[in-house]
Amino acid sequence: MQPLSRKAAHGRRSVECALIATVTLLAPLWSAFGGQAAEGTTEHWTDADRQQMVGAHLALMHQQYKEAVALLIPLYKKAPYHTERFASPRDLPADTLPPGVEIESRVSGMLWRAMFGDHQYTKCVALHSAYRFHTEGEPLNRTAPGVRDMLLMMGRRVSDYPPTLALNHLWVDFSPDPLLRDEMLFVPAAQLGRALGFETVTENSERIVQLSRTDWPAEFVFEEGQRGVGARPARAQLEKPPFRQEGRLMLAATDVAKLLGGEAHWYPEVPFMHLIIPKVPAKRAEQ
Amino acid sequence: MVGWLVLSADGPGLWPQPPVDPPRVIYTRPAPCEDEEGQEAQAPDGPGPHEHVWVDDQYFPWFDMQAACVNVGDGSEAARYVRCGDYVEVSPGSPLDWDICGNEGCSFPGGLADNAVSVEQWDDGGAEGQFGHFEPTGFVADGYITHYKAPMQPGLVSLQNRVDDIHYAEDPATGQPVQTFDDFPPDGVWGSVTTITVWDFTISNGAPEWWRPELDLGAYFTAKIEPATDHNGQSMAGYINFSLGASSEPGYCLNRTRVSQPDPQWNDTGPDDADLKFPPDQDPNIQVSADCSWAATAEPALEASVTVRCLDYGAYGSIIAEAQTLQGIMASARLLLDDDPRTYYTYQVNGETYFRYYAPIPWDEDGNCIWDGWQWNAGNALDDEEPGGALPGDGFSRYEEYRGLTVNLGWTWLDPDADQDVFILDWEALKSPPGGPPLPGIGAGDLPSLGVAVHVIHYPEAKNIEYEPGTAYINYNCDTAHCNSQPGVYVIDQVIQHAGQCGQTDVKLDRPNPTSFIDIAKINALYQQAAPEATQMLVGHELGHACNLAHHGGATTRACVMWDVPAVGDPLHHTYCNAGNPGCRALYMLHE
Repeated sequence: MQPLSRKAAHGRRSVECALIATVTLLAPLWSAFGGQAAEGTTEHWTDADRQQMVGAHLALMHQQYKEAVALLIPLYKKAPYHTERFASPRDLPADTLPPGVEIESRVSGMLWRAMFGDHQYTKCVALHSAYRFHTEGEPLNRTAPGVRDMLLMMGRRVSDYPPTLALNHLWVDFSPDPLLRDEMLFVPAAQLGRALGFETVTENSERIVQLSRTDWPAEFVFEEGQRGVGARPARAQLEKPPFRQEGRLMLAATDVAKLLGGEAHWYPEVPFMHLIIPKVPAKRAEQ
Repeated sequence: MVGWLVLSADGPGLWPQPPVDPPRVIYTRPAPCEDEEGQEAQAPDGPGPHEHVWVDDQYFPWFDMQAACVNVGDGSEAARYVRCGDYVEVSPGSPLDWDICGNEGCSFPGGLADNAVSVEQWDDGGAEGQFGHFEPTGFVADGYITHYKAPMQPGLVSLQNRVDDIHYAEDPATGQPVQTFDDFPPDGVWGSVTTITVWDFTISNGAPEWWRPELDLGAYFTAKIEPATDHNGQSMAGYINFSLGASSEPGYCLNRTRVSQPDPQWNDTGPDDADLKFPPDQDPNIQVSADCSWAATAEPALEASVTVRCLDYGAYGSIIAEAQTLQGIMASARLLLDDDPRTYYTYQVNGETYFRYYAPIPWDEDGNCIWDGWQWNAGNALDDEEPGGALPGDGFSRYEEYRGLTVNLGWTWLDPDADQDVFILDWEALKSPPGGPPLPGIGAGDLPSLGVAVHVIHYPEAKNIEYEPGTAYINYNCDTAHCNSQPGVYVIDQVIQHAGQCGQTDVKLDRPNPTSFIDIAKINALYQQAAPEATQMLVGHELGHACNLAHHGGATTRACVMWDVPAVGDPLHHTYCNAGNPGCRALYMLHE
C-alpha cells in the first residue's frame, strides 16, 4: 500500500487501496500506550480469568456467541493475546477432546470467532488486523482471505455494520461505535485518548475533552465544533471539527494520527481503519 | 585217473521217499588252475593224489546247507524296534555248510570241508523296506547288504534271507581250492524269520494349509503310536504329552484385546498371554496344565487328540507331541500330512531327507510368522513398502497388516502391497453417548483422492479401544515385526480462532495424537448451501496437512485440495494434484 497525501486520502472514499495518512504535524512521536491494554502478558492473569476463558470456549462450542463476546471483551482488554491450553476433562467437559489432545486458545482469537458468530464482521476485521500487527508488525492485507470472507458475509449490507478501528495491535471497543461522516471516520475522543494512554478529563456533557499525560506531546484539548486544538507544546488544527454523538465527543481518527505522527490505514469496503501510532516517545531534543 | 562212485538210492531211509533224485555221480577233480584254465590235470606217476568223493548231503542232512535267522542290530531286543524309515544293521546270522568226502584218506580233517555260504536274497515279506548298505553318498539299496531301511508303513515285519553254498574249499594237502558238493536245492535255502516291529509316532497336521489364525478358532491334533502291538504281542501304548510353543502378542489384533477383570480367564489376550493354548475342556483322558501350554494323557494310550485354541489373528507357533511307550521307547512325533496315502512332511538338507518333528500353527514354510495361504505372504514380516507418496510404506509392517485390526468392531486385514493405509478417528461420531443415537461424524472428506486407503473409525463402541487413548496409535498391540507406532488422525469439530481458516492441523503423522480441527459452524456460515461440498474439501485439506502436505501457491496448480488457503468463493477442488507442480499425491508422508 502506498501512503497517500492527506488531500487524496480525504477525497477518495472508494479508493482501491487503503488510505494511509502519514502525518508529521508537530513532529513529536507519541507514546500510544499507557498500559491500559496489556501486551498479552500473564502478569495480572488470574485463575478466574482462565475460568472465564473456559466459559467463553464452551459458549463458542455451543454457538452462544453473544455470551462468548461478553465474556471475552474484558479478557481482551486485560490481555488480548494471552493463550491457554485446554484439555478434556481437565478444562472442558468430558469427550470434548480426545485424551491427549489439547487445544490452544488465544483471547483475541476466541473473540474473533465469537464476533464472527455474532455477525460482527467489521469488528472481526479489526481484530484480525490488530492480530496481524501484533504478529507481523503490519496491518492486514485487504486481499487476505479473512477480509474477503468478511466482505462476502456482509454482502450488500456493509452499511449495516459499524465501522471499526484498530490501534496498533488492539481493536478498540468504542461506544458508541465509530461512524462515517463526510467520508471520514469519527471515534469517541475520550475513549480513543484512553486507548492511547492519556488521562481524560471531560465534563458531563462531553463538549470538551482534555487528554493529558507525562510524555510529549503532553496535552490536547478538543472542543465540539472547533477545529483548533489546544495542545502542549503547540496548538494544532484538525481537518474536521469534533461533534457530539450520543453524548460523546467524536473526533476524526485520521486527525489523531496526524497529531501523533502515525499512520491511518483505511479499508473502505469493510469499513475499517487501522491506526498505527509509534509507541516510543521521541526525545524532546528531537522535536 | 578219474574215479567215480555210485551211490545207492535204497539207503537207510533217512529221508522221505519219494521224491528221490536219481543217484548222482560226482566227478571230483582238482580245482582248475587259473594258469591252466581249460586244461585237464595230468595224474602224476606213483600213488595218485587223493580224490575227494563228496557225499550228497541229501542223504546226510546233518551236513546239509543251513541258513540262519537275520541278525538285527546288536541282537538285542531293543534293536527289533525300528522306526519307520530308519535304518538298522542286518546280517545273515551264521549260515553254514559242511560237505563230507566219502573217500578214505581225505586231506580234510575228518573228511569234512567247511564251505563258505553266500546270502543270495533278503526279504521283508513285502513290507516295502529296503536292504542295502551305506556309501559316503548315503544309503544304497543294493549290493552288499549291511542295513535295512524300515518301510514308512508301521507294522510287524518279517525279515529273512536265502543262502546258497559256495561249493569250493581249500584242500589242506595242496592248499588249492577244490570243488565240493553243490548243495540242493540249487537256489539255496531260506532262513527262519526274524520279526521286528516297525513303529512310528506321528502327529496330524491340525492346522493345514487352509487354516488361518483367527480369534477363538480351534485346531485339532491327533498323535498316534503305531502299530498297536509289537512283535511280542505287547501293546505299544504309551504316555503321550503335547506342548505348545506360541507367540505372545499383546491383544488379539493390532488394536483390540480381551482381558477379563477382576478374574483373568484362560482365554484372555493380555500382553503375557500366549496366542495358542490348550483349552481346559479336552477329552477326558487329557490333562491340561494351568497355563494351558501343556497337555498329556492320564493313562497310556495308542492315540490322543487335543484341541488348540487360537487367541490371536496373528498367532504363530507349533505343537510337539512326545511319547514314552511301555517298551521304553521315547520319541517325538513326526508330522503326518496324510494317512491315505501315508504322507509325511519331509525336507531335504544336503541330499538327506529329514522329518519334521512338530506341527506348525499355522502353515508357514517361509518362516515369516505369516500364514502361507495369505495372498500377500510373500516377503518379510517387517516389510513396509507400499508405494505412494514421498516415502514407501504406511507405518504398518507386512506382519501387522496380516494380523489385522478392527475397524468399527469388525476385524479386517490390510493389503501390504496396495495403497498405504490411513486411519481417521472421527471424534464427533466416536463421542456419541452410549446407548443413544450416534452423532453425525465429519468423515475423511476428500482424503481418499490422495491415493491412500482410508479407514474411518466412527463407531462409538470403538472409542478409546480401536486406538490407544493418549497417543491415538492404531497398532498399539504390537510386538512381532513392529516397525512404527502409527496413529490415526483425529478429526474434531472445534472453533477455529484464525480468520481465513476453517480448519487447523498442528500435529501430523506420525506423531502421537495428530489432529485436524474443523470448524463446521464456520463452514456452514461461510459457504451456506455449498457447505457440504466445502466441508469435503476442507476436511481433505486439513487431513492433507496431517499427511505432511503443505500449502502450495504461486505458480503451482490451483486445481488441488492443498491450494494455499482457500477463501470463500474460490473454486472447490476435490482432488490432490497428481504429477509435478508440485504433485501432492507424490509428496505426502505417513511416517518419517
